[in-house]
Amino acid sequence: MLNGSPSAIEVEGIQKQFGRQPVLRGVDLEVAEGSVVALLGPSGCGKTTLLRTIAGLERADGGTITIGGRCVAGPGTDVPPEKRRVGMVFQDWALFPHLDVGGNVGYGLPRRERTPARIEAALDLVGLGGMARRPPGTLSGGQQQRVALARAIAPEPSALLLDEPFSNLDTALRVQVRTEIHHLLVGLGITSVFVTHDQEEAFVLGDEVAVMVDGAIVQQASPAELYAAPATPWVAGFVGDANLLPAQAERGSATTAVGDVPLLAGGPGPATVLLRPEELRLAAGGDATVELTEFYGHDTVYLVRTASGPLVRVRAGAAPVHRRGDQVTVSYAGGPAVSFAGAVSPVDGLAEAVVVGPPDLATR
Amino acid sequence: MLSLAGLGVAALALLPLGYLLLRSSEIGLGRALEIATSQRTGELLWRTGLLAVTVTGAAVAIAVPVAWLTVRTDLPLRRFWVVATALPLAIPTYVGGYAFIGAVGPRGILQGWLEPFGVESLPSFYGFWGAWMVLTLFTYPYVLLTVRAAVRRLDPSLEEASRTLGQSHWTTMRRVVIPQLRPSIIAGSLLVALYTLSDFGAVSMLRFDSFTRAIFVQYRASLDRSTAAVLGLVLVAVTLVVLGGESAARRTSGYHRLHGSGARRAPVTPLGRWRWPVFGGLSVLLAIALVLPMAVVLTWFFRGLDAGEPIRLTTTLIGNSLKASALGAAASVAAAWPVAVLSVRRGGRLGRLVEGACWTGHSLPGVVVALSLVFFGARVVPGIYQTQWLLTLAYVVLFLPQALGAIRGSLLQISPSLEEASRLLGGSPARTMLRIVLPLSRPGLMAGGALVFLTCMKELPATLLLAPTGYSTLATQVWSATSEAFFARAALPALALVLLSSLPMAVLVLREKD
Repeated sequence: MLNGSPSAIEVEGIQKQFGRQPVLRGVDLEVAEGSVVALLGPSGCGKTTLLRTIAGLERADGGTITIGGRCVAGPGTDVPPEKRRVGMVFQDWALFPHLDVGGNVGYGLPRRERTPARIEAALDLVGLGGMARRPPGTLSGGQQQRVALARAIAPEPSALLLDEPFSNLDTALRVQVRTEIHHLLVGLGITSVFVTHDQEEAFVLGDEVAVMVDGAIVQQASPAELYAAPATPWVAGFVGDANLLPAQAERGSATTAVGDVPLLAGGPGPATVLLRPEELRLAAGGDATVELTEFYGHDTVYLVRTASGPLVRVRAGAAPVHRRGDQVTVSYAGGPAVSFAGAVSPVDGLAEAVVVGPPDLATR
Repeated sequence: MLSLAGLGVAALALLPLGYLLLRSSEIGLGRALEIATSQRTGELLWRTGLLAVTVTGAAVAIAVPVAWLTVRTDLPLRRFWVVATALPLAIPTYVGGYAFIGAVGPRGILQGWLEPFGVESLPSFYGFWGAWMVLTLFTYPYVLLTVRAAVRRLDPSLEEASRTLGQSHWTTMRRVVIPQLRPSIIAGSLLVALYTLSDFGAVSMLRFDSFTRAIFVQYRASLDRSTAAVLGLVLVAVTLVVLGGESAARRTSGYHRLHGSGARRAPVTPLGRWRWPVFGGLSVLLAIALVLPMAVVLTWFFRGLDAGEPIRLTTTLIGNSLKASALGAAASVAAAWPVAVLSVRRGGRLGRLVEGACWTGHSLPGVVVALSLVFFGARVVPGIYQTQWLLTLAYVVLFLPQALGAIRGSLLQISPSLEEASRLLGGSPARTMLRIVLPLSRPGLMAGGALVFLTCMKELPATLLLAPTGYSTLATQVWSATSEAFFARAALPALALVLLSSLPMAVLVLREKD
């Protein structure tokens, strides 16, 4: 039913300040036709501002934005939002409370297309057929979410923007709605950008994930690539559990607190090696000590103090085998690992990623 | 477009003040200062200030306990008291003054009853204490309404926390509840103080020589416009001092609920053996502030019927009042709309400037605005002098803030993302305004309009000074009949006025329950 052809979005060097506070510092972002890109970052990194700038709700101070080959923002150009042909799903959904569901969905349609049949078709698409006469306030959170989506895609926009689309849903509902929306987006093949601070959400929905920190995109890649080869130690920690261990690198391998580890690249010298918890193995007996055991159902995470000092997270099979205080041996079982030149001190905002546990364990 | 409209409205709102300054400057700074610092002005200042302070104090003393009792306790007939205790606001102070004079004044009901027993005269009700009592009884609802809204918003878990920390009911009240109510008490007091400073009807009827009465007499009796203008400016200065004091007091008291969604329904405090004494106390209040005045007016009404007072005349008065108020309400809402949109959506310096200008009406007593518009009309635009339009203009200047407040409030409740959503769905700014913002702010437009309508209906001094010759309204009729002691003639217009204004009032109070 969606006839509008999807368009690529190109963002180049976008800058934006609020007062004297720079929020976007020369952002580059490319979204291929029909693909879904997740903008992932901590709160306050500027991701929502970037999305709103693409929508035309904020005016960029510099840089250009092109949607489907048409420049919508750039030197001397600032196409108003209503002329950009982008749909947006707002964080609070922004359903018009004085219009019924059908009135909301039909709002963006040209007058002659604003027919009950057309509106019903858009509602059918999100599984809400027959709901057109209902006031939006009487719908559940998940249903309101889908009305917002139906309203955004009904006018056949060339791209769809979603601002933290699931943050207003409770946890139980979130996963279900996410899968439904995922299904829809894939089916529609519409170019989409969505903002999230949830790594899992970004990985599940995004064909690509753009990690944003402090007003700039530090890495844009597929979820698998991002996880396997993060560009910086910070990204490594942000997109998943990470052990960042100080190491002495030789050519092709490094010596760490869990023994020798093969490296993907990197020259000799002090380095920091990224070891994912699931790439580590535990064996009974040894000079490392289990300090905490966290059972998650599908797996168990151990916090282990190695003999040489660093604390590591180890993810292992379903049921807990080792208990607090047990002596164990930690070994590395993954492929060639990613390393970063130089030592990374925990003060660089890494403490949360390197060590997850009570602060007294972390700082010792 | 919007900015232009906003600036136009702001200029309009500043017009009276500007013209007053111009007018005063005509007699020279020296002479103006001489009038402003004369002994007579000093006396007026003292008397008016004393009245404002005592009325405000008494209003707070009545309103705060009543607010608490009608929201948080198991008071018998609680819902009834919620509405009833606010209703005296529907009685204009000059009607209240008329009722009390008609009851206990010379040639009043009480004296009529006592005359057979040889009582020739009663202690005089005129003067300070009369004015104090009437103003207190009919303005305390201002404090009541603001404080009651705050009591409803109190987070009960704060009180519970205080109790678990070992504080008694009373210390909790003193250390947790009252401090949280302080901003609303201050806000309500401000309304009462400003009202008292600007009240004309009650003080004139009760012959208490306050600023407004002095200005009116000065203008009417001697046509000495410059002296009146200078006195008007002094009064404006006093209200500015009050406003300044309020904003200073407000700045030092920022209270927020730290976790917004946490508030639960407040538990009901059982009054125990105090239940019926409290009920009795409220009944006395209601008897004095509502039942007695109404009974007096009704008594005079029936005496008037017996004496053959014409009713036909009153229907004309009602028509005039409705017309003047409707025009005032419509014009005020129309003027407030661009200002509200400008300040809420655009913000920035222009928005603040325009909004600030519009709020000056809040600090201008009706007498002052009327006076300056009389000068302005007669001198600058004789075309609208002595027409309905000049009166409408005065209403806009005076009551614009009321409409502005209501519209602003409803605009603030519209999430900006609704407008953004409309834009992204292809709606132009104009279409967004028409199809989203206007329908969603309708409650505010209606409430603002109703409020201004109500206030225009009760307004006295500007209507007296600016209505075209021979154009009387209910308000001016009550005033002129009472001032000549024709109590029976004033009864029907007074009744009509109270009825017409208490209906929307009851609606506003009932809506208060969220």
